[in-house]
Amino acid sequence: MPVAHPFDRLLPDGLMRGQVVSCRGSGARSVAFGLVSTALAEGAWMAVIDVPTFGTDAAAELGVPLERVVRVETNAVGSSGSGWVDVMGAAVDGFDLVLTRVPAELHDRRPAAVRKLNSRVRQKGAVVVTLGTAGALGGDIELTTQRTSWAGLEDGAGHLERRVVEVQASGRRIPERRSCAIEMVGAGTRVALGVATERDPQAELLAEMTATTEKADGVVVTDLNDRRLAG
Amino acid sequence: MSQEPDSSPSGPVRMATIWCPDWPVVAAGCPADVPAAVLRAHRVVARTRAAADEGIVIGQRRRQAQQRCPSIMLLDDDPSRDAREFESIVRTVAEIAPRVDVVEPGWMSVAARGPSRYFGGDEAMATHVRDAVMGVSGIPVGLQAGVGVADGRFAASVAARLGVRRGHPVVVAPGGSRDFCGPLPIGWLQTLDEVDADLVDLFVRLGLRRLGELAALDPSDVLGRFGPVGAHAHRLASGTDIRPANTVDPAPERRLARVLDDPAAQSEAVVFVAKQLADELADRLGADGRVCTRLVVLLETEHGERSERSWYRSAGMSAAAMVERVRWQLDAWVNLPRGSEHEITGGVTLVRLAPEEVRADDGVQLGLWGGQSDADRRALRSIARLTTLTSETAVTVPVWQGGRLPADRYRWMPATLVDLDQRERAVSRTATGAGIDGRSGPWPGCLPAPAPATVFDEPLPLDVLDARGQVVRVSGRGTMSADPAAIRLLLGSEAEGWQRGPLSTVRSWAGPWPVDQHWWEPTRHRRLARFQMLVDGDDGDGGDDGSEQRAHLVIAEHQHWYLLATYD
Repeated sequence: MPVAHPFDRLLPDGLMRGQVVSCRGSGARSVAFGLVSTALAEGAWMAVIDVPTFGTDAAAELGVPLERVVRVETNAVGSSGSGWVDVMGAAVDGFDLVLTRVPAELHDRRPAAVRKLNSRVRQKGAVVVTLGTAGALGGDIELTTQRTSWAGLEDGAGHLERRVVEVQASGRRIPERRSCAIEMVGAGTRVALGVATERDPQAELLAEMTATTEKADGVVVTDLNDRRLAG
Repeated sequence: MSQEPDSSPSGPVRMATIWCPDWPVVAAGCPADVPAAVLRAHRVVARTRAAADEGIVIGQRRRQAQQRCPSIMLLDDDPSRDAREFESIVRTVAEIAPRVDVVEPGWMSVAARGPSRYFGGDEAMATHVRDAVMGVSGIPVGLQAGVGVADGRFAASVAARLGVRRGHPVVVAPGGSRDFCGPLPIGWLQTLDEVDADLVDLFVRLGLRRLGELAALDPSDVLGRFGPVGAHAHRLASGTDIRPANTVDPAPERRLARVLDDPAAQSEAVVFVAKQLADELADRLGADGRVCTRLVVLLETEHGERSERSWYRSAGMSAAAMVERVRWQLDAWVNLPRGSEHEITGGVTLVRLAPEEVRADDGVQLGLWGGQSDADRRALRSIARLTTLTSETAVTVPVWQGGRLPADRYRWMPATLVDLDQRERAVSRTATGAGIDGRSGPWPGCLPAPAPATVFDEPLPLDVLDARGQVVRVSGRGTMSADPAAIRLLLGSEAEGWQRGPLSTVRSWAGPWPVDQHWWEPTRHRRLARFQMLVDGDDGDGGDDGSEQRAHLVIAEHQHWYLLATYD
């Protein structure tokens, strides 16, 4: 399955069916959303299992079509008590992508049921993306974010608008570690993904200038509206 | 069900249609003199007469409806409630006329020939049916019913709707459907769900404002220009609502039945069986390039009670639509009042789906939901499976609702309550409704992109401290006692006393952005100030060099601080 632009540097072959990809680090979610967005946009469906803190807006901004996202909570009130493994088994049958968190009790142990689940993932050709460690699922690829740097916030002014995340791909399916600095810039209702370039003073200055003008507009608008609301 | 009325091959079947306007509000038990409306996906789908007098119209948005009529009672859409309440009306009509097709709760049609002959004419029959429907006991107040008799389902349905306005049944003389339809606006095609809004819009722009103008065109020209959908519209407009000649009703072998060895006592189990049958049926019909328009569902219990209903949908039924109808029928049956005939007393042992009417799948269906891919079908099957594994409320899909706080912007609805076939349209429509640039749309004052990727269901309490270690206070006017310097999460619960987590330093921050919303509604009134804070990472999940910074969305509300979301 294809992946969006900056991720093809990390995974040149795209997402391989039957693999388990784990996203870790302080930017894991955004990386996971960006990773699956292209495949979803091309018609795949995604099940989100046991991620109650799923940031719907952030997913939409990174290009995830929400009409093909289904969330499942295995420990919701009134549920019949089937465990995470059963639900995962049913989900990989029907969904091309499954986003999940591995329950804490399966981080170190690897019961037979999980091994069965692993072979089912391979057989059905689904891609499982885990937030945090893949634990018992034994991830094929691990994407770790390092050195997140945010831009846009000052002391009491501005707003978060841009960040650069350094993502490193490793794992048993990747012979050598690859890493790439990915830039995420908020623009309107979308977040644009790009490869962060090396420090280029001229470009930085330009970005800063556009940022300040945009920011000035943004602040005025927000401020007025908020005043009106507060009043 | 082989008593196909011997329609003369040249003309459409004579049909009577019963239409109960605004059925969802009637089913919800709202009296006509109370302004109330039922909303589906934030749009009004039905309203009481009092609400209509206040200017509430179908298709209006929630906000506009509240603006027109602040005292309006807004109710959630519940198709199974509609179906349940409609059951008594279906039963009443079924006693008068044998062949009842339910199109949707509130709308059904019957073959008129037999009953008319029995009651002595269409007028007499229509009046009798109307009186019977209006006289049904136990039906909530505010019921209106229109009855229309005409050649063909389409003309009869139009007549029934006009019958509501006129207050008496409307009978179109045999052979008069074409003249009856002629002067009507072309929008009726869309109102009755026969063609989609785009095509009607196109007709209007081409100057075809009345059904008669469309009917006056040469059918082959219409077919050439608009394809099978246009030909269908042309047929309806001409009052020749007859099925195309190339369809043959399915042979009895097409009926799919499943006998359950263990009687199913729970409706979920029955629906699950029905789902398998419906998938198989839709597959088989699809392999022949056909689609089922009239489906007879038979359910039988171990004690021999039967429930048989015929369902009609002119656009054809997908497997999901068939299952939905089985669910409606089952719901209505289970909720029959005690002591009534055919009351259910045991587990269900037989489920049978019989396609009684099929037609060539000529693209009307494609126009409706843009072709279902294999991935869609697999996912829909899997959703049903997941629902049975967990519970209805555990499997959810997002529905746009809008708001200024991240947790408010989307509502997660049980997947079984949302028509997933049509979701692609629904979601994109709301997206365009919000404006090309979301912030210039209906939600001024929400924070600009990027949005936080982790949104906590329950905000986490925390302390925000200034440089001297005092808790920062935010006044009602949005001024702060000091700049924030550090935050500290509070762990545990209020009952056991809070435990203070480790301190993390605030590197930079922005805010406060005040929100004061729903001040007109005391129970929903919220007044808070939002902040974005960039703090030193405290949990070393993957960060190896300790330079990780985390961005949080923090709010101050009623002198308490909460962590609302994290940008990760």
